[in-house]
Amino acid sequence: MGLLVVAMRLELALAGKLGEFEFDLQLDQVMDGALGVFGPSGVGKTSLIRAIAGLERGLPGRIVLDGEVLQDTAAGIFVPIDKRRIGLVFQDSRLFPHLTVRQNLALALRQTRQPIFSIQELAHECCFSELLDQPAPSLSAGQRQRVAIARALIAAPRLLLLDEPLAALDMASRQHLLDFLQRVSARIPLLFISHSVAETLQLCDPIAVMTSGRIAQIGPGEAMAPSLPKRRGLGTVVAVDPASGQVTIQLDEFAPDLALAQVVGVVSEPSWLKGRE
Amino acid sequence: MPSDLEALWITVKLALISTALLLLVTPPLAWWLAHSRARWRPLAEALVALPLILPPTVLGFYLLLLFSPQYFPGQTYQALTGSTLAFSFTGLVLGSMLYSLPFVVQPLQAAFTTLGKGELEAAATLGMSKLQRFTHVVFPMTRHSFVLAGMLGFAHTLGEFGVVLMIGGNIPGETQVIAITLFEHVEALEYVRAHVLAAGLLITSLVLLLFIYVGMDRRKRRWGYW
Repeated sequence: MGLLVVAMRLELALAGKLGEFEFDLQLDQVMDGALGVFGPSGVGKTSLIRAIAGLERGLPGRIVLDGEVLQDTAAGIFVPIDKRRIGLVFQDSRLFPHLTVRQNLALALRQTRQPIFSIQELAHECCFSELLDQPAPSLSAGQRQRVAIARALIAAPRLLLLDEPLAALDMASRQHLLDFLQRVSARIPLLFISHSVAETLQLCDPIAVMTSGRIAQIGPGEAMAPSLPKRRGLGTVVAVDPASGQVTIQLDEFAPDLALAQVVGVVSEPSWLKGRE
Repeated sequence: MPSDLEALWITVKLALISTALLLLVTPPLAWWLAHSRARWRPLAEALVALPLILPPTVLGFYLLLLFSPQYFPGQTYQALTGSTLAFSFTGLVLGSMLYSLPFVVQPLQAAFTTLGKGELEAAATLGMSKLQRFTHVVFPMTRHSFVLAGMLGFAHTLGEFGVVLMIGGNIPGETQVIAITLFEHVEALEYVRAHVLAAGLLITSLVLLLFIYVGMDRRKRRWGYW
């Protein structure tokens, strides 16, 4: 890994309605490394990447990637999904159930003439070497998601879109995969969707924040960090007063700001929280 | 007796050829029925299902007209091949395909409906063309329904009577099938020969259906779905 990457530009201007939901998506970004798209559920993050991949015909407008017009509704251009060379890791894995893990990867590998990764390499990086000959439906949700990431990568896309790819994973493999994706992003630009602040901050730079149907803000990770909502962090107990039952807790940078008289939930073992955010 | 064997051979040949052709030709139609939102889709669906309830003689009557040299399809066929379409084996194959159409299309349509689009979208983002998506994803995921559709179509064509009677002309060695041979034996009071054919058809149909239901059962137990 670590080849020269020629930066590619993604221009996006889509406006219209999908069902009852109004979209106005404007983006003009040099895709270099990982672009994070952050936002709460239901703001249209998934629709954004489906549109880029070519899975959403209902949004009129223009999409240009690396100088190639992928969609121009006014000019009647819509490049079919399979001609875009844009990979997509779905939230729900979508492995082919009639194939083993290895066969899933082999089928994807056959779609490219210039492979970047080998099956062994990705199986090792995503920690599923021992699962290669298992049928896909026998895997757990987390295992399936790791295979799905590998399958999307092995087809050597020029841009990889990831929709909450780490949601089903436990903490250890999350961290491992984040490190791996970080290295991948040096070769293939990523567009990473998450509602996890910690994941987005660690992997992505720049970061875009979405609010209902539009990209509200985009900027370098450091600049965007303060405006990302803090929702879940760790606290360390620094003082206990058994007499009054009062506990003083030192909150970390991801923990939400607490107000007086606010009721909060407490768990004693942080690993019970699914992912540290 | 040799004429019975001949009729049996014609019947099996007819069922095999029409089922194979149906399996090749109808998947696009079944796919369209499963996914189209066109306003006239119910009409297409009703037309496909029509042979289920229409008396075969009605279908046969209209086919006889269409196949005759007075009308365009029959005329064209005659101009191209020099022989008539009515009373020919080719005409019989066409008639059987229409007659067994719903038995092949409906299981495929049901399978395509439940297939969902998730895996297909994933295949497309990996760069697989429409044809590759069909051969590598749709077909392997629904191949049991293809087997079911083929078996139903085959079994149904074996028992064909009305359509063949109208358009086949009952020519031994060409268009005489066992259902009609059976009828002739009964009319001629040759009950023993009638018994052989009737019992043969009965047992064959039962065995075919058993295969279908045992297969469905086993799959249901293993996968929770058919």
